[in-house]
Amino acid sequence: MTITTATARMLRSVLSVGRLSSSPRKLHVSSLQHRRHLTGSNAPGLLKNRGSTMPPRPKPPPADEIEESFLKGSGPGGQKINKTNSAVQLKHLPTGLVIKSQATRSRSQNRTIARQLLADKLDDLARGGESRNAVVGEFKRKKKASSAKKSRRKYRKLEEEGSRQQDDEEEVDGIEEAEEKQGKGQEQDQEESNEALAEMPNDLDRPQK
Amino acid sequence: MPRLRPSFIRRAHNISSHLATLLPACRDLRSAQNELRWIREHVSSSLAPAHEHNVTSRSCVTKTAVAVIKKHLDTEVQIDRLCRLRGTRGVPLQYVLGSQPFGDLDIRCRPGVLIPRPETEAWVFHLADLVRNVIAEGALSRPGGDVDDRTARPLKIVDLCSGSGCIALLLSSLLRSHLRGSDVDIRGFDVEPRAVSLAKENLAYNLRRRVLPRPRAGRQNVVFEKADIFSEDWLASLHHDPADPNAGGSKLGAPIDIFVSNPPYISMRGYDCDTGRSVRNYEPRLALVPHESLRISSFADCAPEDVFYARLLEVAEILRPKFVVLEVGDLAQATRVLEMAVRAPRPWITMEVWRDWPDMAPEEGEDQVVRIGGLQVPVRGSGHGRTVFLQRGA
Ligand SMILES: C[S@@+](CC[C@H](N)C(=O)[O-])C[C@H]1O[C@@H](n2cnc3c(N)ncnc32)[C@H](O)[C@@H]1O
Repeated sequence: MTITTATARMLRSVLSVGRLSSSPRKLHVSSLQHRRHLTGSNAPGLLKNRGSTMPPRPKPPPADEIEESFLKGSGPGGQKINKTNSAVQLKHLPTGLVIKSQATRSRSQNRTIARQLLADKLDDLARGGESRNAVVGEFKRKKKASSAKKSRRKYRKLEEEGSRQQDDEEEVDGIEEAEEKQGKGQEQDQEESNEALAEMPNDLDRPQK
Repeated sequence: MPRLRPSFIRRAHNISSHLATLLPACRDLRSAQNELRWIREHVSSSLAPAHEHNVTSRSCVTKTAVAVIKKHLDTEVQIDRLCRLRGTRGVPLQYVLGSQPFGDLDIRCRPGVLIPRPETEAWVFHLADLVRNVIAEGALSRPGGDVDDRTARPLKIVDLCSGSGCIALLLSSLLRSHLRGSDVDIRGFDVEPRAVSLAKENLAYNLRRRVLPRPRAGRQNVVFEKADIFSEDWLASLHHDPADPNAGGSKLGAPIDIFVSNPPYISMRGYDCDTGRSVRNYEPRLALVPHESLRISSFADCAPEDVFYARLLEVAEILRPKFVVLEVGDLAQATRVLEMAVRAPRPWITMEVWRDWPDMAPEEGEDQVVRIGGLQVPVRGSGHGRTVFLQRGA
């Protein structure tokens, strides 16, 4: 799916969420153009389609419509530091949509996840009830409803078979953990880390002197 | 380190006591929440199978319920233990969980062996892209195609100071789809026996996970060995003819394609002043700081933290690689390494410095060139100066 500029303009007028807001964030998140795209053999296998009944996964927008940023430590990096922050944030330039992923401990995997989340979101906005997310959501709702029925039968079943039924309904496409911050949620998030930084006026990873 | 405000700790505690435990190491709530999530995921995935087993044996609801409660308690005890290791004792999360993702790979991590860094991952991706382009242009190793597969020779990669094996293994994973007919020959060397065995384990583990190319029948194409790269015996062994049966099955004949190293590069002062506390307390000093005796014995005219580069460039003269990537500590060290490299007997046709994130646009104030004598060497990307890249003609 490609978003034309016209569609993008329309989307933007609908969207009031997910804009990069105030400038304090510039202090610790550097927003930079980033043109490389993790595809093909580099893309982690996290986001493959599992069920064939679902609509196909939408494709992420072209790289030049994405501004990528991640927390860059102020310290020396490399061998001197072993931090675990791997969060990746994407801004879709035509719509101003902001997506963040800190689902995994791998920055390269978070980059792929964030791109997929962005693609899903844009698909949602462009196609509404027909989007993959909507279809998947509907599928899950139905499954949940039937799982209520199922659980009533569960104990009887347990006695009969002596086995516990694995409750795996929630996991449909493997990105449930991926985070997505938008609008209000994001502001709040930012406040929180500002406070954390206020706790630590110096470099986060500097050892005690 | 500044003390955490009690009100801040209390706030974390109100969310979860685990968060408060993690806070001293994580410093902010976001990171603590992330680390707690990863610890939980780790514990639930490592506890699950054993208990499933107990439950299926008898058909009884009470027994199932007891098992469920017991599992829950076990899980909580485990989570609490790991949070304490991380938060109270300050053990690196990667040692607590025993792993670090590195591209598609999952690299096992254990004390005695350096934890792979994201900056290293970034330059390996960048190098793989570059090599892929060169392969596509047909200037490197014929990757099958219309040519008879048997004529395609393997891509030869040498990784010195290989540690966990992360660099060599990720390169092989990233290049596999581009090496149809041929494959890769990888040799990694490290002086630390624990590193050598961990690298072997990482090879086997990631082969099982199917993120590494399968070796062809009967042929082991990735070999990690123990060696001190400063020893004369080892250097002499590099001259062996690969066809020589007495060379111990060595496939290391020059010229090779890719020569990479992330050697110890921190000065003694840098180690004391700007390493993270968990780095100093738990990661091996041998992996970080070149030993003082090395300089006195062989490279008296360079800074103590640069001795590995002097040696690596000597080795490069013997192996005659097409591409060299050496990780460094900062732009100043990169500049010193380039000054050594321009004195090489045979000139490099390309010299570059890559910053931490080589494919990001430079920020304001980040120089895009360094001067080495009369030469202007391009500096790519954004962040600290992180690698020296050298290339020789075909
Ligand atoms: C910075 S670590 C790099 C590990 C790994 N390549 C990585 O990037 O994560 C440096 C490695 O050099 C090894 N080393 C130190 N002195 C050595 C020597 N004289 N010969 C070979 N390896 C050495 C250490 O054991 C350590 O594993």
